[in-house]
Amino acid sequence: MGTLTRALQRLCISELSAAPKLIIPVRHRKYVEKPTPGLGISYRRIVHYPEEYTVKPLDVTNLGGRDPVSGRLVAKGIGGGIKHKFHWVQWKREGPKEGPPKVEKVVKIIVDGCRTSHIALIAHENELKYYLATENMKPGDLIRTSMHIPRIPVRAYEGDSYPLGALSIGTQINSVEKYPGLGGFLVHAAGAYATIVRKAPNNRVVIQLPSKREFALPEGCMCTVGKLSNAIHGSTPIGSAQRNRELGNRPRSGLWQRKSGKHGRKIRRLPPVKEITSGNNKKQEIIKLSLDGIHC
Amino acid sequence: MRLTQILLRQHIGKHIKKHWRVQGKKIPRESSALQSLKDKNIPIYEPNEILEETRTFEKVDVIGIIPKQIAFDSTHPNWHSRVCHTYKDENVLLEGLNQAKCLTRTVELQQGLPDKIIIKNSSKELDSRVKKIIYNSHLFDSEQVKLPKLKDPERPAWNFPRLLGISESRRNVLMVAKLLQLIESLSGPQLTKQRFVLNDLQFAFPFEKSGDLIQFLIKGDTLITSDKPLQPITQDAGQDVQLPNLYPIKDTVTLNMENIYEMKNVYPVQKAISKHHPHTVFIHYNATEVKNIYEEEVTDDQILGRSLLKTFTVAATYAKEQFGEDVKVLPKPVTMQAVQSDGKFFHFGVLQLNTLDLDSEDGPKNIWYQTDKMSLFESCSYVSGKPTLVGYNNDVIKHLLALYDNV
Repeated sequence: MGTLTRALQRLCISELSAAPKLIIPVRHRKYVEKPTPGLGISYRRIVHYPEEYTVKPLDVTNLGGRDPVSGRLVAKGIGGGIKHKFHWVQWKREGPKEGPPKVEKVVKIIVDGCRTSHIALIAHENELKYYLATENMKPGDLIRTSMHIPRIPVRAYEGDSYPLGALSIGTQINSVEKYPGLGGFLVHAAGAYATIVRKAPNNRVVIQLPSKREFALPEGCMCTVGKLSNAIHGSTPIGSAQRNRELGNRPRSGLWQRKSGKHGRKIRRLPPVKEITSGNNKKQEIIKLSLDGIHC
Repeated sequence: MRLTQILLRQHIGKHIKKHWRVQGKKIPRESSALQSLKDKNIPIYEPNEILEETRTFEKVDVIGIIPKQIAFDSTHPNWHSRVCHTYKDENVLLEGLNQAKCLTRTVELQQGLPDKIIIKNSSKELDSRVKKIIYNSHLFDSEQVKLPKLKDPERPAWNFPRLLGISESRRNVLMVAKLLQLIESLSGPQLTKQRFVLNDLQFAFPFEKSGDLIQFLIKGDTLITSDKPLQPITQDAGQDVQLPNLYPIKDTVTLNMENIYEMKNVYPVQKAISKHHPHTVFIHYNATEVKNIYEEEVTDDQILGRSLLKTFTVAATYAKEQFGEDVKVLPKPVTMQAVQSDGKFFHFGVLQLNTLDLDSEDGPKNIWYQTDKMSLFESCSYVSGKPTLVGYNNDVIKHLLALYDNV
């Protein structure tokens, strides 16, 4: 007993190298910043892309409407469903700047679970890649790609890819670039197509999108000719509530929502033709100031 | 001072926090400071360059540490900067038979097997013995492993109960071994004495074609060797027949592009063995292993192409071993037979290898004979607890016998 008392006497606070940190009671809930949905980022799944392009179907992580950074629910109504592997579509159609076009062969039309339109497996020399399949594309078809803009519009067949300036007015197109070199950006959904409406000054071409909005794009923007495949997708009923769950959608409330825009938009005049200028919209760096880590 | 002033004071901690949240984020405005400093030749540093501590670590050799495994990158001893197009057991060719013909410079002169191979009728007793073999390797074997998951494309959400049973590889081994044993017992000791049966041999055939480095690395699952090489079938070297046109695809499409490789011709049966001439190669087809790179179903044409490419590899490695490394047009053609099977379907082929000069415009070509893919039976399963074989086809055993008896 005597030794224990002596040992306790020797032990005093001054000997401790670091004072124990006091736990401060948390008064407010920790603030977590959440992104707003609808800005071009999908909260359905993340695709694990490898470094190099491949046709091997890729693994995905389903997010169920959660933001992968904060982990918080951002988009409602997403979750569950059948897990599909992701087919990496090659959006860039690159061809020769002059001379005869590059010819590629359609090997197979594949039904992809991650998008509405079908995809086409394309072979050229040693390469394999996926493009979005157009309506009448079938295995064995040869498709052409050229980046040359001739004086007279080219005679384009379905699945061919040319710059907007090389095609005649009235042509139905899909997978249109917003500016040269970006890769097909506009018109990707099943059965969708844009129409070349007219030429505009400053080497621009006006196209009408499926939403009837008109865009004036540089004439060097590449696009694919034809209507996209699986046009019946839009008119196919989901069929059952269970089928909707298989598609990865969660049940909806069924409440009449007058103001949410869910039941149709107000009919207004179309906005004027939008001119897309350049793709060099650099995001400005935001500096975050904080007092974290400074102990008084 | 009255107490109420303190008591009624608003707690503004929440507001300060909100203020920090909003005002704590700043986008720096572009100023001309950077440019003016540059003009005066004053060096500019990023804050982190000065603030961050730079420490260099000394390397210490620890005795007894487990050495690092060899990395499969540019530090690998077999790394080459030049890409080699490699064909392995699990690969299939995109364009199937046509691509295999282009790669191996092979043409077909006629449909079906050569006339030299005589197909005789089978007896009832033989058929019943083959049926027994089918039962034994498809149903009665004692192996019980988890079989691949089943999926119904019509009902993708449905999970089938997981089945246990005989694995594909086991089934293939059993079928081929048992059928061979049956054939050997039928063919008599005189012929059987001339033959050897070897299992799991590795072949490697490297070559160069139109500036591309190509190597076939394949396994001969079962190889029958004989003491005499097979006699050539035809004198016609297929000079009038054109190779298929693959435009705009190159014949090396879907071969693996690899930087780690060893270019070495391997024919695993040594010359010192008296029965070292290849006679027939049995190729197993395992649907869970053999896949397209894009993970779509393997087509029949691709399966036929696999037969040709594997047969060619065995014959070509043998030819190089026999006639030297630099042989182009073979002094004597090499004839090889092949059987590909997954235990249910059988595909028979015969290759006459005339040349190893695969790059030339004209000159002799190799000749390929083949049957269609034929099914040994329609189904073999338990029906109401009773083992049932439906739709047995005795063409398969007739063909197998004919190939074995061919000298």
